[in-house]
Amino acid sequence: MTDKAKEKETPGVGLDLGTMNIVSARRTKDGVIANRIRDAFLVMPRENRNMLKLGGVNFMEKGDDLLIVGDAAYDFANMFGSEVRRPLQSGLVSAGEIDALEVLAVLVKHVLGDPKIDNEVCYFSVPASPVDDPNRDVVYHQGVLQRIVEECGYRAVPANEAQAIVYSECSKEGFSGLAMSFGSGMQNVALVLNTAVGLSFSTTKSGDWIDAGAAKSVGSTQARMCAIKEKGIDLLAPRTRDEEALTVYYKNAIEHGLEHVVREFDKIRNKFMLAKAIPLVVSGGTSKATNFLPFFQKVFEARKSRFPFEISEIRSAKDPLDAVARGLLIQAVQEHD
Amino acid sequence: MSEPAPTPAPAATVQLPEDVRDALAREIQEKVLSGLRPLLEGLLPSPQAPAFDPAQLSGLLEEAMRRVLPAGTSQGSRAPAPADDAPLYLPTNLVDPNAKAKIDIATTSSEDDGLDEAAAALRALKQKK
Repeated sequence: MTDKAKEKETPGVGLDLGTMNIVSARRTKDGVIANRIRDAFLVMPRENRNMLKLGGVNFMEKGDDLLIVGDAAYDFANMFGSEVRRPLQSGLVSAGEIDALEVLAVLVKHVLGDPKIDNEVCYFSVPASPVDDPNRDVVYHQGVLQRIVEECGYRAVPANEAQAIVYSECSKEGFSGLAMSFGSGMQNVALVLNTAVGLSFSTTKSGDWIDAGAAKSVGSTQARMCAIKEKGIDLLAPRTRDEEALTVYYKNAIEHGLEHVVREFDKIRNKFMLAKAIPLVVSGGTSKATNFLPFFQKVFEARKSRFPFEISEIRSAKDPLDAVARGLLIQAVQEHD
Repeated sequence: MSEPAPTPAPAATVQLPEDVRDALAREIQEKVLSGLRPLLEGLLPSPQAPAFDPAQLSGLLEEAMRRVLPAGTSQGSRAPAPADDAPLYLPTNLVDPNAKAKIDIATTSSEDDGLDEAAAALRALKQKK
């Protein structure tokens, strides 16, 4: 980033901490600046230091080891037939992985940068509790992230991930909408009415689950399925057996999310009135597959008659990778305006 | 003259956090409903008899729960939080200011595609509330 661009930044930052990517968003006089890094690392012996430095590879030193971080971690993992490590598993930090937390802290610090002013606020994303795995601990996850952001020098405010998408994409509807964020580790859902969250939940059936399920069904590996997906799969026209398998799991993940919207809404039906139709916004890296939106619409149509409230339209977030950070930024700038 | 019977000690009361109360209320309601539903459906005698809607039972139970539970109990959509007094250890000093790292971040700039309008709309909505 040029110094001129940095000067134009205004206080307040949004930080999206995902299983696959860490993204921050800041407002400038001209628009929005987003910083992004892959949330992964690979351990290498220290003697590779000069090679990594010459190659311009992102790395950090930790004890006797070198840790390649970001996109390069995946490249080197493929080269050496290794597996990357991810500080977040299925959307949440793992209590036993202190080393991974320290790597996460370094990545967050680099993505956030230093605060622009004293007590600058940082709104960071937190998933809702998973409905299909109630033993997963969101409280610890939120606590650790809050500590990391505070240790970076910010005033940390946790905020619901899917709700942030409504802030980003539904201002014209008075910040009312149903957001479904298909991340790597988790699918996050929130029903928001005029900024108030009516229901929110997450499920583990998202990107990684799709890869693992498709891999198992065709006898391949999760990493290979992920690579096929990222290379480009048309969900409406799968060309190979692997792509067909991915499509089946995509459909199941969408159905699972919609089914849980029905179930969770049933619990609040008497307390939460929706007077008019609201938009349904899909987002997240897993939603970037070609034709994800028409594919989603097709799955939704099959269940429309049982859906508990009216949907005015189904649309994608303008930028599925940055929507959460942008929505958090909208909330953060309020604190400083 | 015999001494008056000692007054019993007041029953100990435990103030549960609101989220825990909500979770307990939902669980009790679901368990009672799931237990009663098959009994009630089995009692329906004939097609001519007016159909009993188990959903009505849900409303009756909700009313009963409201009478039993303290005021202010609400059915939120968030998952119940653990009790406030549950210990939670969080590691400290995770951010090492002396960490040796060479990390370049991917940065993208985009024009303000409605961010200021969204922020203004949010401000207006909050002021109205």
